[in-house]
Amino acid sequence: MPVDSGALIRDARLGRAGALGALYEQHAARLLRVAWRITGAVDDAEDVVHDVFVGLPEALRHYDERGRLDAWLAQVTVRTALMRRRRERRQYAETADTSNLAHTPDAALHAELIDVERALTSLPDAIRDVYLLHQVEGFTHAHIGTLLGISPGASRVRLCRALDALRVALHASR
Amino acid sequence: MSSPFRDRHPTHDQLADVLRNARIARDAREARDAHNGRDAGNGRNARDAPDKNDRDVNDDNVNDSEREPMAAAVVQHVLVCDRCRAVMRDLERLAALTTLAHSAPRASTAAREAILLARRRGDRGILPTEPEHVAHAPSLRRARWHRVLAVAAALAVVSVPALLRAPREIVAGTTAGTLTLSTTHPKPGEVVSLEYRAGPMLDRAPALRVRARVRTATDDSYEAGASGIIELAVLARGGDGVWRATFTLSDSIVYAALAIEDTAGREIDDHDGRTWEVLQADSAGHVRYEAMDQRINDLMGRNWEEGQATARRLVDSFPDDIRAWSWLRTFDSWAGVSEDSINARFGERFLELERRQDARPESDPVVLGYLFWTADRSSTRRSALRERLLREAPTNSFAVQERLMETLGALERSRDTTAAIQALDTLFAEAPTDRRAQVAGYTFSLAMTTGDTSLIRRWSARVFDHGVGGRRRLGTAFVQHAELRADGLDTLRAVLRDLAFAASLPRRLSERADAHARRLDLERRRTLAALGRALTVTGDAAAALDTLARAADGWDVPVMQAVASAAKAVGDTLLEARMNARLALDPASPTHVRDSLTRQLSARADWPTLRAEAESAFVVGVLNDARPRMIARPAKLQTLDGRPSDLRAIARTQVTVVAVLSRFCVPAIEALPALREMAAALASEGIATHVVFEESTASDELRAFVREHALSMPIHIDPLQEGAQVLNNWGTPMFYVLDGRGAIVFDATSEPADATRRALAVRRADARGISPPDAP
Repeated sequence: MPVDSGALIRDARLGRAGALGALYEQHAARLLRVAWRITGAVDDAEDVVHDVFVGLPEALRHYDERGRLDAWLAQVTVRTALMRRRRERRQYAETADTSNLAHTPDAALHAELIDVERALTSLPDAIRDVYLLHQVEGFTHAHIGTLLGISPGASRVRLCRALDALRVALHASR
Repeated sequence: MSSPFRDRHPTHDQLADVLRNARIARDAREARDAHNGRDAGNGRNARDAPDKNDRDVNDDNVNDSEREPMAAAVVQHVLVCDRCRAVMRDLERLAALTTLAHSAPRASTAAREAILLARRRGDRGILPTEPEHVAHAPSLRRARWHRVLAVAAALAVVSVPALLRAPREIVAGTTAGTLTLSTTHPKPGEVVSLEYRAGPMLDRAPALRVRARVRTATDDSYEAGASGIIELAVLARGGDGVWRATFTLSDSIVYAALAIEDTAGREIDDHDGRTWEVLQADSAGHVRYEAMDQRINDLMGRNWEEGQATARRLVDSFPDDIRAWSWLRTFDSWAGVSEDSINARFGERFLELERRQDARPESDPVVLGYLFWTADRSSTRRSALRERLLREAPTNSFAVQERLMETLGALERSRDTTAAIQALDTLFAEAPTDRRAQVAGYTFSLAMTTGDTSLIRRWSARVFDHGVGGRRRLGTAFVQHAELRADGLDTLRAVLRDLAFAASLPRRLSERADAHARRLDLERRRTLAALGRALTVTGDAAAALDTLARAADGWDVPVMQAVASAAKAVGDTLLEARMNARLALDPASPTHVRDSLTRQLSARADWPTLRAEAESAFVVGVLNDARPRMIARPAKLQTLDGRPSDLRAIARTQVTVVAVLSRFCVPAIEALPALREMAAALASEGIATHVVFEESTASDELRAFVREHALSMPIHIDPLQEGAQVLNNWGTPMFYVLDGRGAIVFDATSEPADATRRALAVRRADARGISPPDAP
């Protein structure tokens, strides 16, 4: 049955469990992935998403329904993840969880994966964030600039730096 | 039209944009296909016009490069360039590998149930939805607000000419004087005598004084972290025209930044932004570690390069002090040097310091803390150091941070907030001063989730400072809580009362009295906006709108956003449209926001009126910060091909933005893409952009740099630093707006977005026939 997203949001604003659960079903997977990109650890990402949904009914009062809900939720999730990381003064490299690195029977591919992951982990947080948000999650530079408090131009420069470093790692692994 | 990539390759980020677009288009296509499939099953016609949310999806997915003609040129270039195709393949492979590297975590049903359980239990949280929060209120009254707007629109016509025609008392390049100190490294209690030869502006003053931003050994970074601003001495003018005074710094002050000003604070000589400095020496006359440490803290946010240079000097002077090496390591990290390179560079030094530490009969908690903090983050050595730190120095700053993490980890497992807050209470009592804010900040957030008002009050007293900003945040936080709402409103009103007095917001060292008054006004408007939003929460819509009306002077994007949201919340659609019209016209707002707002508003019959009113408000609001000063004398520059140029002549041609850059400055290099975008956008409005590099010769390296970064605007060097002197420039990147009639209109900004706003405001004022004043 088609879902009336307006009604769902209105009900979620009132804190109705059914609506909140439905929003979780619709959006949690992507938000978890986005949070995980920022924090580098599944546990941290799950906590971020928990916090986002626990605070969502009140926060939805600030959602003006002009833009997409999923884009708004992604923004809030990125901000929450960044706040968590800043508050705890932890770096991605400290928390990065490599235990679930994809396993593949292709040894060469697996080595390449490890090299790229290692290069990614060694990037400064500020640079890696831009790479992951732009190249993997598809955020625009303007959007990234708003989220990270930098200019779109700075976002572009950081992306260039990330790409330079990662290309070196890619070639080294070949 | 010729391709911009005839002589050069696209940059990696331009190539990355193309890849990202392709991926998003593919995802959208797949999603649409899946959606259409579902719609067919639901009986909906897949070819129906997209609904509102679909349109927004498309808006969000239009990326930067699709909005630029550049994107097509990049694609055209890639089609014929083997090198760029190879780069594209690399980038595509990287994106694929990054996505593949981890199997994404799954959202579990158990996690959903935990969320719903937490909600039932009463858990709540404040999410960072926007810089400020706005809530709903049921009713509205708009008449008084609309009167204010009408008056503001009428005033626009009057105030812009008045502003630009105001007598210019300031002439660029005439404030600076020469200060000579008997010593810049006084020992505790030593009398310092100073002689000051004033520039023409300050020499006219009846009296001068020296003020100082002073720091003790434990002060924090940035200007706000300093102990305060004090008046050190009043200068007396001798018969020879030299101003003299003496002062003695108290023993606790290890660093002071000095500036000279007239006693009304109208003119300030802060050594072109550098300030003069005094660093405390020990009894042997050597500059103390703490003095240099505080110099770095003072330079934070002002001059990153000089901060790094100070860290190098610190290491030279104190090669056995791990704190000095930690500073240098930190600067490398901020510069984007990889963790591996940092560890390779510093690892051996830190191991040596660890060996020395182990040789001591008793471990030094400070050294132990820094050894832990600087250890390779992936090493087992770090784990061992952590255990040792927690065992031997549990109240060390880094140990307290680790204990904080442990407590929070335990909370995540047990969800026992009461026990966690009790543990954090103990930790707060044991924490050193530099770590208390972190403990308090986290505990306050926890306390807010409990609803226990006594806990919230207790921790709020620990987390918020007593300054205007701290109390405003406190008031805003309290308003979110029903039982604390009255207190929150009282706090916000008290801040407003205090802001009537200049002393509530100390004037900064380099801040002139008029700039200070403007900052007070800005703080007042921001507090009014916070109070207005708070009143919407209480349901007092009339008071909320009246309050917000008083907040809406000037051109402050966060305030405009707040008023728009509050107006929406109380149902005042006209006011909301007026604020949105301003946001739609703000040249520094993201393009998709402006386009989206313009699309909505242009459907309204009154859009032309709204737009005209917003245009007037833009010019008035931005020029409110203008501080025009004529360029009194030629300032010789040189073009890259060796021809002479002159900043004053440039200032007399057309409205121009001058960007001062250094190719050795990371933030300046980072600003180059934004500079190129700004220059292109301003050129279409008849505004020129010039770049001045802080270099004395037009070297081949500089030419190569200009080519590499595709800087197509006029480029100059400043061989005699006359340009820097006239602009009062210190630091890069800095942007100045020249009015085309020989004046620098605003103080420097490091933000291209601000420069864009300012230049457009000057240009539009000009286009309306508002004449700038005559040159003095």
